[in-house]
Amino acid sequence: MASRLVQLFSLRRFDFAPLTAGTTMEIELVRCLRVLDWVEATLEVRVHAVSMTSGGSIHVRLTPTSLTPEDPSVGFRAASPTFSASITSSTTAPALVVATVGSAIGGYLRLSVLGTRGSGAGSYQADLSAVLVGKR
Amino acid sequence: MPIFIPFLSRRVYDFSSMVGTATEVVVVRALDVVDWRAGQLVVRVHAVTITAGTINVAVLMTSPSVDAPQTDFVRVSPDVASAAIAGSVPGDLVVEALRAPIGGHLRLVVQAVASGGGGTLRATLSAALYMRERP
Repeated sequence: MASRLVQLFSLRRFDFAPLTAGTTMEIELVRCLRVLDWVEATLEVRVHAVSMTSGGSIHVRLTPTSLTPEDPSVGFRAASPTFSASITSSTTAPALVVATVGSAIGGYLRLSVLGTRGSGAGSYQADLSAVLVGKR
Repeated sequence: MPIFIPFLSRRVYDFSSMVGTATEVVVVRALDVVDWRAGQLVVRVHAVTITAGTINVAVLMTSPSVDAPQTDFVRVSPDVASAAIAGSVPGDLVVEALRAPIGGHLRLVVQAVASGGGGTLRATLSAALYMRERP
């Protein structure tokens, strides 16, 4: 597989408003993305709109994973490294937030979005789209 | 396969009317570089007169979206490369390696920052990219 640009998700809203202060919620978007043929990749997250109170954050994360037919219900994931593009209350739309997946890219990646609310109440959402640019 | 991309033909950039402000001229909005991992920015200085201020040719990461085709999603900092023209003389070739990651698309711009006191801020430039599949 040659170098290519993979659309991870089109424009959509991530709304973590129901979270209470200091709590987190992770949404799994892709359980296992094959990146076996690439030596590096760049996660590009476009921030179309953002409304977030101070202290909160939304991370679009790629985590090395490895599934096995011997135990298919378990998503084996590396504790580190996690490659994360972070959107905070100081992010101003439109913006491009980037994370680099270097030599530790491995063979498969899990894509998730993690929301963490700070101490403040109020709106906590972002309109995002993302692509992954893989290079061989 | 390595490739030579002459994205800017010889052109005069005259920002002398600016005083204490900054501006950016977009030369290429989104250049597809998915197939390359490394490269160099080369800027030829044909003529230059800068008494105050700066002119840079910069390469920025961008990510065009079909969801919002009119919007420019640009990573302003850090840049992928920036060639400073101030201090150059005619005949100079300013070469800057592209810093990884270069991502999928590049935005090529000429940036000018004028000093508060004004002054001559003019350069005649041409520029190209050398793109390679391996660093």
